Amino acid sequence: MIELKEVNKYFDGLQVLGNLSFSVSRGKILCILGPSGCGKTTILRILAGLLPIDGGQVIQKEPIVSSYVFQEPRLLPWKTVKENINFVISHSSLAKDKRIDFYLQKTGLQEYANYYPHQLSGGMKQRVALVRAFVYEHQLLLMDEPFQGLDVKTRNLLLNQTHLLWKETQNTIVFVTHHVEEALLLGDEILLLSKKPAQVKRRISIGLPRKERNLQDPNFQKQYEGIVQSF
Amino acid sequence: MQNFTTKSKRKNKGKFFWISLFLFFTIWYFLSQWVAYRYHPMILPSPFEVIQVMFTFFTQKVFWQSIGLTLYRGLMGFWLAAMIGIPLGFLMGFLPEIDAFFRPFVITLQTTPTVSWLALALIWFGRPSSMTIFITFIAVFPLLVINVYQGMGQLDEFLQEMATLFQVSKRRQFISLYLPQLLPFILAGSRAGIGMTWKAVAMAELLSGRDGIGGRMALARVNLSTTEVLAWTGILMLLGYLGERVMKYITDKAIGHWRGYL
Repeated sequence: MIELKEVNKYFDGLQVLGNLSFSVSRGKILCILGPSGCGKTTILRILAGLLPIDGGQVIQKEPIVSSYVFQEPRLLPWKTVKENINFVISHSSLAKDKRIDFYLQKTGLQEYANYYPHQLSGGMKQRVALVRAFVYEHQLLLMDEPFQGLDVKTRNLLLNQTHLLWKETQNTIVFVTHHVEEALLLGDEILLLSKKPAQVKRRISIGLPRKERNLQDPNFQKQYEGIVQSF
Repeated sequence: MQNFTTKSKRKNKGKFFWISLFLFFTIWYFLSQWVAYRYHPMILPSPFEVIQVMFTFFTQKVFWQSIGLTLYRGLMGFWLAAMIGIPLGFLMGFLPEIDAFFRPFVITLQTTPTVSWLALALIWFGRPSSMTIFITFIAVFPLLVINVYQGMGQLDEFLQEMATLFQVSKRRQFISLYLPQLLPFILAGSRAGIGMTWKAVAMAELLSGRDGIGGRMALARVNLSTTEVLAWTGILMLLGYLGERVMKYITDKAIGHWRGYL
C-alpha cells in the first residue's frame, strides 16, 4: 500500500534514517520495533506525509487518509467522550453514530460516553483515543507508542481491544513500539530497527494466529528471546 | 480526619475575616470620634453615619437613577471594549503581522495615564455619557486584549496537531478548540476589566458631570459632605464586589465542569 525506498532523513545534520526501505502491506498490522530514540516517530511522520524526506522515495499508488493514536490521549478536556469522538467526524450521520456506539460498547466505554476526560483513568482515556482513531474514516492507522506509561494489565487490555477493533475495520496499521511483547502479540509482521541512523535489521513474520499467542509458550518464547537478543 | 482539618481551617479563615472587619470599623469609629473632638466632625464621619446615609439613599429616586446611569455607562464601555478587544487579542495571537501592526497601539493605550485620557476626553466630549463610556473603554480594552493574546500564546500544540491530522475544519477548530482554550483568559480579563470599570466610570463621572454615582460624589464634595462621599464609595465597592461575584459565578459555570473543580 505504501513503500519507503532508501529513505534518508537528517535533523540538523544528524542522520536519523539511513537508506531505510520497507513496505506496508494492506490490511496487515506492521509493528515497528526499535530502541528508544531511533527515529520511529520520524518514520510515522513520513508515512503520514507530514515530513519531507532528504533522499529516497515514498511510493504510494493513491492518496491515503491516515488516522492516529498518539503517545498521549490528546482529548479535549471540555468535551465528553462522545463529543471528543465526534470532534474528528466531519459529517455525522445516523450510521456513524451507531458505529461510535458500537465501538464504545466493544471497548466497554458505553457507560462513560458522557464523562469528561478528567473523570477517566489514563488507560480509559487512551481507549477513547483508540475508538476515535478507528471511527475516523481511514486507510492507514498510525500508532505511536500508544500504550506507553500504562501498567502491564492495562496495556494488555488495550492491545486486545486494538485487535478487536482492527478485526472490525481490517485496515492497515503501523504500530510503533519499543516493547517486544506488544509487537509479538499484536503484529502480523515485525520490523526490527537498528539504532540511529535507523535501518531495517530484520523483518519477521508471525504466522501464529493471535489467539494462540502466549508468552509462556516455549516456541513463542524462543522467538521472543531471539528478538530481544538482536535488539 | 482530612476533612475535619480542612473544615476547621476554613472555619478559622472565616473567623479572621470577621475579626478583621470588626477591627476596621472599630478603629474607624474611634478615629472619627477623636477627629470630631480634636478638629471637626465633618472631616471623618463615623461608620454608623455613613451606613445610615446609605440607607436613606435607598429611598431616594435620584439614587436609583444615578446607579442606573452609572451601570449603563460602565457596561456600555465594558461591552465595547470586549467586542473590539477580544477579537483583536485573538487576531494578534493568530497572525504575527497583525500583532506587529497593533502592538504600538495597544502599548500606547496601556501606558498612557488615565488622567491624560480624562483631560483629553473633557475637551473632546460634550456629553458626560459619551465621555464616561470612552474612558471606561480605554481603561478596560488593553486588559482584554492582553489577556486573550496571552491565551493565544498558551494554546495546546498537541491538541492543535491532533485536530490538524484529523483534518478538522477551521470553523470547528475555532469553536471547539480555540474558544474553549481562550475562555479562561477571556474570563480572567473580564474579571479584571469589571473591577476596573467601576473605578473608571466613577472617575470620569466625577470630573465630567452632575449625574451618575461620580457626579453625585462631586456634588457631595462641593457640599463638603464627607458622609455622602463615603456612602457613595461604599456603593461603588458593593458594585465592584457584585461584579466580581457574577464573573466568578460565570467562570465556574462556564469552565468548572471540565476543569473538575465544581
